[in-house]
Amino acid sequence: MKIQGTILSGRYQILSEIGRGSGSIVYLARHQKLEEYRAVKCILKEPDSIWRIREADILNHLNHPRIPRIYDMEEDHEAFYLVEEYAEGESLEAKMLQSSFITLEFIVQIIKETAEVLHYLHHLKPNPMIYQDLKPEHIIVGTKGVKLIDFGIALYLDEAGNKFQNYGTPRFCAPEKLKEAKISIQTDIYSIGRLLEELIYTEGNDKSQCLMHVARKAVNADLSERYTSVEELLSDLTSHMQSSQYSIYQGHLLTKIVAAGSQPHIGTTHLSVSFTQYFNQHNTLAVYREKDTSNNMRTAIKNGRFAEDSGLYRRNGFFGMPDYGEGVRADVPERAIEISDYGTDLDGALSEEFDMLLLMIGSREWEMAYADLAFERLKGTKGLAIIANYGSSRQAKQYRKRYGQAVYCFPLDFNPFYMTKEKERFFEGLLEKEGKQSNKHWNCRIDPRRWSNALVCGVGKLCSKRTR
Amino acid sequence: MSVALANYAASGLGERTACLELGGHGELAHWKAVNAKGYFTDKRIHYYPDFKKEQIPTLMNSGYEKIIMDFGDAYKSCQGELLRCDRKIVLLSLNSWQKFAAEKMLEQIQSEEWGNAEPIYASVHAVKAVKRAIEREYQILVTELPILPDPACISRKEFSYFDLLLGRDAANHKKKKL
Repeated sequence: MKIQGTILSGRYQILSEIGRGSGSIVYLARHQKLEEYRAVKCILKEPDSIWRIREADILNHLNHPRIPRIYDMEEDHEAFYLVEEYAEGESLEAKMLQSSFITLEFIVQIIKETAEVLHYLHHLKPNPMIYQDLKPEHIIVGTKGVKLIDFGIALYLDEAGNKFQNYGTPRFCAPEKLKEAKISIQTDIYSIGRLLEELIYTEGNDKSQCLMHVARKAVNADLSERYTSVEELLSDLTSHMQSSQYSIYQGHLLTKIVAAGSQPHIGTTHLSVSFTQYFNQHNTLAVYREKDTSNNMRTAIKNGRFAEDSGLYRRNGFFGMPDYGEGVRADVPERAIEISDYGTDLDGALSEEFDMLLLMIGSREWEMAYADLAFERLKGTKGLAIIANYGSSRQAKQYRKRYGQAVYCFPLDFNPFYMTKEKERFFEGLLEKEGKQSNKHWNCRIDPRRWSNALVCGVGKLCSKRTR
Repeated sequence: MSVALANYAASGLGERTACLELGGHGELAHWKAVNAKGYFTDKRIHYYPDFKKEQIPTLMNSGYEKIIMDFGDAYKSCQGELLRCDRKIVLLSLNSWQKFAAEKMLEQIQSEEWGNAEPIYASVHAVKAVKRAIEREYQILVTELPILPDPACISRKEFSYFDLLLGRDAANHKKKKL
């Protein structure tokens, strides 16, 4: 059956097929007079199609911004046509294929918004509704957030309870179905738990692994161990995100960080990208800005797997901007921490207003002269933090004596996009000591003295491994 | 629009960009004085005022990554060059008092042989009813562009429109699917 190009009910011009399910095809249509897009679900007439069109009745009784509205219903000798609001965006399933979109923040946002819909359904009066078919392809992620589509197997829960029916995608179905037990709102909670698990696996980061305990509780086969309501799951998720492990500070005053190096190829970009990644993995938006002339960021964009959103490039938890010229105005998002990488342009770095200036210096003997020159240039600058590279704590100590101020030792590292425990400790310590404001609330998990010992030990181990 | 596109290409995409004035109005010449090579530079863009179409092949071999050609209303005399462009953007003024000019242009374009080339129709300040009428009558889709307070200073929010005009959205989409 092909209806593309035809006009339905004298109003809806069928444009293209946008989805297909068992016994139904969804088309994108345009209302000819209102010039608005609609989704037309075409349900072929089969013996059970009367049961299938109950979706129209269900949607007609629902009113939630994250659920598409139904506008019309038509039928001909071949099929029924449900004309629904077109949920603009991409399915979560498609987003998950482009793993660069999946960040810890994204996961939490998706789960919160999906749970919002489930909460609405579970609190409908007089009878709550169970969605039953929660899976990534039924979640449309658009500019205004999530929309839940396809209510084909949703049902009202009557007082006597309903028996579990063998519908839905097995991967997301609660184990109750094997026992043919009664369904409850915990059935949907199982599915959202499975969804959370899949998102965590897709993101593949250590940080999001910590949300796994929420997912595991939601998918517990034992109903008494599973969350009893969506609110309970959400509150667990929120308190987990607010725990010290994720929140590095509240009410922060540090908004602009500038990084520069004493010479080329000593890791200034590596440090800046790592710092950006550190903030973002701790649920604080930070944006890396390339301010040197190397064009490394642009090259990486051209070659790498970055996703773009209005000039902001994203890769896992990393957000960055290339060096935009004067012809564009590219501000970092509001409330984001800006980390500007000036390469070796010390004057450029000094020309900016900043809260913290990171000076990267080399630890090799032949790099010391450059380090001295850079230090002379920046000496006495408010907010200056000096960092020696290659994990050489011995050299950092020497610099400390020489310059009469703290010199931090950046751990030996290979991938700036991947957060190691050594780097975690390094940035925690750096923020604790150089976080500038006396009333700062950098929420460090470990005592600074313990931190410095741990760092020296960690670096010592690395160095000994290398010399062996 | 040409200035805005050139600024986006040069500053937003970091490409070596030239902007040619082929309409014969000589407006750019009033902006800045050209150097011995016939251009002046502004925000990394080389502007060539009053450029002659015969010089285009030479310029195309001058190492530019993006060349924005502004044909103005004289596109007819440069049709060959226009058809050789990777992206052909037709800017329409869609309000009640300029509708006739848009119609005239569209009729002319649709009566010409453009091969399989499909221009991108765009408009700024479009009146909805006029836009709708034009789209229906000529079976085209007109992309509404945002009002640019300063074409030499594009904001991040407007990037997607320029990506669309320069065909970058398709390239990005492909890249994301890799």
